[in-house]
Amino acid sequence: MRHLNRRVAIVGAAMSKFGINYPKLRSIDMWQEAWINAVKLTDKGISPKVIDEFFLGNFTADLFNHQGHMAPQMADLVGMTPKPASRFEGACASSGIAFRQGVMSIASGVNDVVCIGGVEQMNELNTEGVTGALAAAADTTYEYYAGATFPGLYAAIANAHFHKFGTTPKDLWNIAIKAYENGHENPFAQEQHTLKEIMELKKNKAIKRGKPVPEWKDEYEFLASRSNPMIAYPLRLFDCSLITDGAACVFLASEEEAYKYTDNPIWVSGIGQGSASLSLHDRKGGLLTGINATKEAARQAYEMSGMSPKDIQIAEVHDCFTIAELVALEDLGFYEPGKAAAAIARGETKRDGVRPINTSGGLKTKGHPVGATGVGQIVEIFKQMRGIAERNRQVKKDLKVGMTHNVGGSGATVVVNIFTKEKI
Amino acid sequence: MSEENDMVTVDKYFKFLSEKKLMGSKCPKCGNIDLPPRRLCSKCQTESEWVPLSGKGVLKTFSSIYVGAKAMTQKGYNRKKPYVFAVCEMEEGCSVSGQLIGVEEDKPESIPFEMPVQAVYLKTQTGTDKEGNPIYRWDVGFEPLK
Repeated sequence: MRHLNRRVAIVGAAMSKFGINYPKLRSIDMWQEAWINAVKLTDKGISPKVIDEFFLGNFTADLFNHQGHMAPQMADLVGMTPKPASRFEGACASSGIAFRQGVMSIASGVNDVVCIGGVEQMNELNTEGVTGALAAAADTTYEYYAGATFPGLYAAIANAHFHKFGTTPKDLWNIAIKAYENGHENPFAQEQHTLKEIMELKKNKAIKRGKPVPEWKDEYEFLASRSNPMIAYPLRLFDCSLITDGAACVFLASEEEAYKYTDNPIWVSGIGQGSASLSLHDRKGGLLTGINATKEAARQAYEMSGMSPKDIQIAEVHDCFTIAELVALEDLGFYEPGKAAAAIARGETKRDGVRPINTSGGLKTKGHPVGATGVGQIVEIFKQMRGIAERNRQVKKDLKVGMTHNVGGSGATVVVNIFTKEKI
Repeated sequence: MSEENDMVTVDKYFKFLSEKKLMGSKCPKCGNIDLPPRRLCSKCQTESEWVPLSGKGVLKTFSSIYVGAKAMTQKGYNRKKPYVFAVCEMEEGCSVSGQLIGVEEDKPESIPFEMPVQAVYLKTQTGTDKEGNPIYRWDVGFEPLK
């Protein structure tokens, strides 16, 4: 059975503010901000000199910023050189992969204390440029010239899900509305307005411009209106995550070393990673209503931790699109296929629900700086399990078991982690 | 050696498409057919051989895309004129992505799942050569079966 040869703990974790930070802040600046914040959230402090190795997740600074070879660059900025520094790439799961490698390096005995980073600076390019760079995470040989875009690939998954299970746009909008409610409570999020506030802003803008003022009864009517244009049927603008600059940082230590940095480590109790064909059309078994690599990654993490879906009290799942959150809840085993939409409508995934999902606001409102996203998710679970989540988003119960789920591309790479307050 | 016995490569697949031939790869051991073709069978990893496909299949899923890939916006598709990205399963059992034409792209609700389709061959200019002549690539696409 898969297991870690020794226990691994998170002793500190934090992120930079996510947002449209470029040109005011670049990768270099955001990474140092994330590092400083993570040192602050390490109870007894931590020095770069104790770090044995640095693992960096970055999807494609090569295409976004004409910068390769970023791991030593980032390591040097915070004083980790001459220790080993490597970059990992798995599209939007880049820092999820880096994290897993860091965990395994401690479990194996090679390292005692490591730093995992994630960084991406996307807004240097315009939307067309970003879309083009992100397209490199799909199959350029066969999918791209068939017209595939990332919204288009997830829209094809959504359409198949609608067809098979009767899922509706409203089911997806419930996910979006929750994301805005949570982002509103996260000072590190890119989008901190609720949807109602966004609707008011749009009305005020219309008044200022002397244009007819739109009247929407509620969020659903707004989301069904022309103000929420179709991007790739059935997905509209407010079904999509954001184009974000940001960085995140986490410190891991072996059980022997962990208490030097904190009296309350969060244990990494299960890790898993799965893969699948890069292109959607090659997913064997015709599975177009979910992501198989999620099932594999989750299977490994559940097995390693001895946990099952019902044990998971809180999760950050990869909601690059609203449909991605819905299928994640089914693929992770929280709900039977086709049953997640009704549970979401009942409020089960809200902050006060039975299993809060994406309390950070998720990729949808916290933002999605692709290479930093995996570690950014871990930061939220760390804060929630420690009881230090800002504003009103702290879940008001003792969170003993949390999960993160990080997807690359349309599901070719998936990383799942399970965290526990107690040693298991 | 006939061309059907050539090694399975991406370039050869595209050359067949430019001749309006849809060629997959067939495993001599387990009989599995892959499209796009693969040198190694996707089921048992045996070295595969070229096999002509009927071009007939069904629509498994799709999206009408309003904010398109650059390769498509260059062809004139835009928010007012969306195109359809589709995944179709061929009658030989393999699946492939392609543009679906001959449907009402701006009425995606009207496009039926499991609709029978047939292959079409679509040309895209990808650049120009040294003399300024256009360079094209050919892709498989689909239209409703007539």
